[in-house]
Amino acid sequence: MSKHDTQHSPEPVASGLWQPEPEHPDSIGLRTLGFWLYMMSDAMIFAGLFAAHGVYLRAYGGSDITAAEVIDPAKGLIPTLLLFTSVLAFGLASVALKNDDRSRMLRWMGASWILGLAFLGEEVWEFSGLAGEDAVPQASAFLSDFWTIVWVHGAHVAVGLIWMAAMLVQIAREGYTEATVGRFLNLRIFWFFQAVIWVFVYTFVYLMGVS
Amino acid sequence: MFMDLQGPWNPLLGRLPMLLNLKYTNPFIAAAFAMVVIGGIVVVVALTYYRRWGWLWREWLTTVDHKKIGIMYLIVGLVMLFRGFFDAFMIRTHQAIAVGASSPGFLSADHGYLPPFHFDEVFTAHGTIMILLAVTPMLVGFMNLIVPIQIGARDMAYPFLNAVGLWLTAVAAVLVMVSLFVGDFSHAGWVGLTPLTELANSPTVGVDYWLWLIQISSIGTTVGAVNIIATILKMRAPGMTLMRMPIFSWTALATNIVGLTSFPVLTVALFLLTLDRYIGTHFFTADGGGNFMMYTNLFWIWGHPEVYFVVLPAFGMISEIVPTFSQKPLFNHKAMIVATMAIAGVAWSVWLHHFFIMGSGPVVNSFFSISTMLVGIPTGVKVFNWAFTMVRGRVRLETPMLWALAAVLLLIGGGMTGMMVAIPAINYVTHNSVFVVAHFHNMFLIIAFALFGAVTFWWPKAFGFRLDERLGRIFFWLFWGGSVFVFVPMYALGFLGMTRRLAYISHPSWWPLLLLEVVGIGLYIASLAAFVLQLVVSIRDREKNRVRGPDAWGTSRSLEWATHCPPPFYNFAATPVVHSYDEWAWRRERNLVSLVPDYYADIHMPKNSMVPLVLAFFVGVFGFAAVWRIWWLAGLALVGVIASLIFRMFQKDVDYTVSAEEVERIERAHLAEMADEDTEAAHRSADVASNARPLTQ
Amino acid sequence: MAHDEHNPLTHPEVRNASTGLYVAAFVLGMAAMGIACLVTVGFDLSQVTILTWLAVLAAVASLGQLYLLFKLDLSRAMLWHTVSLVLTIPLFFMAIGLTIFMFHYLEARVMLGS
Repeated sequence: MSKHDTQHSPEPVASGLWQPEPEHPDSIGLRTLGFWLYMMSDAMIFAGLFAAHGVYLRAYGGSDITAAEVIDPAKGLIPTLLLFTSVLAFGLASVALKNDDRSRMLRWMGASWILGLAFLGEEVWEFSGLAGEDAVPQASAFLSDFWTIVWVHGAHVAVGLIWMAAMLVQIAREGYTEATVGRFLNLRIFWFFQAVIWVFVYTFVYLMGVS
Repeated sequence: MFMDLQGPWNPLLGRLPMLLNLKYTNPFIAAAFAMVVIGGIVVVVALTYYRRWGWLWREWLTTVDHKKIGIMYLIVGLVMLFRGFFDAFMIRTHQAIAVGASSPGFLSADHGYLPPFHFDEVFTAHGTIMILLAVTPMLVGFMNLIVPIQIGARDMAYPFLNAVGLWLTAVAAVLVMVSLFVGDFSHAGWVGLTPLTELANSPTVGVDYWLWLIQISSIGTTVGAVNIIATILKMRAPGMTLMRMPIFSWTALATNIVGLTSFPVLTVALFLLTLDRYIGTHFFTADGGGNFMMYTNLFWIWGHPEVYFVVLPAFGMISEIVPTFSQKPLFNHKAMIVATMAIAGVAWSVWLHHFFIMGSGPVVNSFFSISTMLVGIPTGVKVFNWAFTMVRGRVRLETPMLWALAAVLLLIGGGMTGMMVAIPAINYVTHNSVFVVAHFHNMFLIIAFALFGAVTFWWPKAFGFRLDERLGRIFFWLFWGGSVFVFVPMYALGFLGMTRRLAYISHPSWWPLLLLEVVGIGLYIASLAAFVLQLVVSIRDREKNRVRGPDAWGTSRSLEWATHCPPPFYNFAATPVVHSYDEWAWRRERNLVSLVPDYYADIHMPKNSMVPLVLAFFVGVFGFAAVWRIWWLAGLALVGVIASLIFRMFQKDVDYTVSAEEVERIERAHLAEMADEDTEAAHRSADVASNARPLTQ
Repeated sequence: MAHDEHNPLTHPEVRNASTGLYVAAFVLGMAAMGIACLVTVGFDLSQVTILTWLAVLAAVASLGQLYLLFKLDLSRAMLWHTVSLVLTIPLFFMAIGLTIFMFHYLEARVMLGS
């Protein structure tokens, strides 16, 4: 044991065993890795929902409302366009971040936020129309599933909007620190992911539903 | 929009007025309530009397130190283990009484002493608690406590999130305790089979408690999984390549990959059921196009990976204990790594074996049967690796080794019966019988044995003194006896055709075996008494059992032994440089065991935070409000959750620096203390000349 | 950590932002979804043909977006992001695929006419 060494010679006994240099941990990379792992977990939520969707595609029960009556693929292109544009705007905000241009970054983020809000508004409008035609989630397993998938995605977008609003305030106030930039990159992952998930929602739910 | 409810509801109190109709005459609940209240008062009075509130707040409740969080996880797990054990005791004694038409009935039960509904609640609580609130927190606790030290990190990757995970788990445990006294608990088994759990068939709040507590604890587990994976991938000490990483850390990595990807599917299953119960969707109903086998499917997509989620860290613990007490490196640790990852991978394609009898037909059943049997291959590799580690080793049967060896024996038994029930033809016969119950308890006992082995093995690392060896042995043998007496008769009863979850047993010929199981439960109670006594005696004699130097067992091998017992809050004064798979053994063989680095440097540490506690409080309030459908309170709690998160986002002062001088002062003080004790020990013992630690045997 | 004086804007994940890639991701996503919509409602194709088209287009759009938006590669900064995604994708499709596999056979055997 080390007892004799430590008692009599507190001086270094061997080199290369310890690395006392202060480390510079890549705190931003650590942050985004953790958030990325969380997004993998989040993707599995959609895996579970889509697995159920595969079985509920035609599960109308006693209801006479079919998929073709509630889903209009062409109309579904509108939220697609809004969300993809919002993601594009967010991407341009991160390009502005790269160029250290804070006012342009905030403007693009604001644009992205408004487009995201428009996406949500469009969905509220679309689904309130459905509710008016009695195509409510209580009507059949198919409708339960349709509403749930679209609105779980919608809830993600809503959370993203709350986060983006807080992020706007923070970057406007505090500028670029390691904490705010790391958080911004996490938000970027989150927001971009909503576009990727929407590809699946649109294909699986809107298009496959009526094919 | 919301479902029509049976019983009263009003906007202010939700369903709470239901409580007026309930009767609090059950003596068990009254006794449990009295115990909780008295225990709570004792704790509060003691804390006040010894003026420890500040200490509790600063050192424990707001801490972000992974070691303390790990210990708190272990405490939550142990407390819930006792609770779950008491449920098991009630199930076993009730079944032993309620045999045959002429069996006596007590306390408003026709047979035995638990009316069927209460009996159903008890086994549901037993399963849910044991899996999600006892075993999982204990394993996560050990991963928290050991993994960062084992890979040479200062802390977890996200210390703040770590505390969030802990407090969410604790809130889930609080909810299950609240359900004991306020309202009722689910009666539908820990699996929560639909459509039994639909509102029409389970109109009380029991199933809601069950739903929300699992949702909350699984958020905690997911957060913890992210944390441990990122810690292992990014924070390893220099020189520690993945191939040099100890097996326990490998299993922690594998298990959290499994947990990270499978828990969300459980969230989906329970979320869809929640929608069914709260707003009347038709996912799992019998009408409206619902498909209740979809619930079973989604549940087991999570459920089977969950089995490996809990068993893999247990394998990791065995893999740490066996080489230490065989004084040999782990046999072929690369095969061990591959086997661990293989088990984690195959975990994802076996889940249908929990419902072979659904009737998907031979094609589907064959696929899942074969993939289930594939799990046997990497598991077999592990068993042989442990066995070959012991071959020609100098095996010392100290208590951790006893637990580990018993766990390996149990794995062989549980694995064999697992192979049996993996055959669909056999499964059609044994499904829902106590044979299956005996099989999975056999598997869970592996985890229990590995956990108790790990408690003994790593206790000195966490607290600086060893547990009493003699009482540890008594604990072990009593626990082993209990396991044999409970589960061997249970296998036999399964062969005789006894189905599970029976509140009344119509077959008097099963009585002797049921009585034998009660003998086993008696041994379990004795073993737990021995465990408590072991803890008390060891804490009393802690000076005598004090560990000097970093290595508590003298033959430890991995990096967690290359720092003090207990480690200082920064774990290592300077980051260790890793040269070998068994770094500490490598250093010991070269006599490089000094803990004094070349020079000291500043250390960055995260600051304590009360936000995790506040956040978990709001989540707990949300859970309670959602169970009782008090919508305004649930809304407020949700706002509280978001507000605490945004508050944390705008907090700037989240870490601090420990200066090099301070680190040096702490280190020197510690080393001097150790040296003093060594000098004293030199006077007491003639054995100090030996380089190896004196062994207990 | 806030004490670090590194300029956060030099981080590789900040540097990998690119207008061209984001525009490309947008165009690819919109084009794929537009074609998918057209294939579904614009022509009178058999269901198998439509499903094949949809699968291919969804794969192109999602993988394209994943690559273009996240700049996933095997560099030091992005290695573990890429590995974890590659490990998750099979699980994603196993959960969906095996579920549909078992319920397909179940329906054929026990849920006739549903």
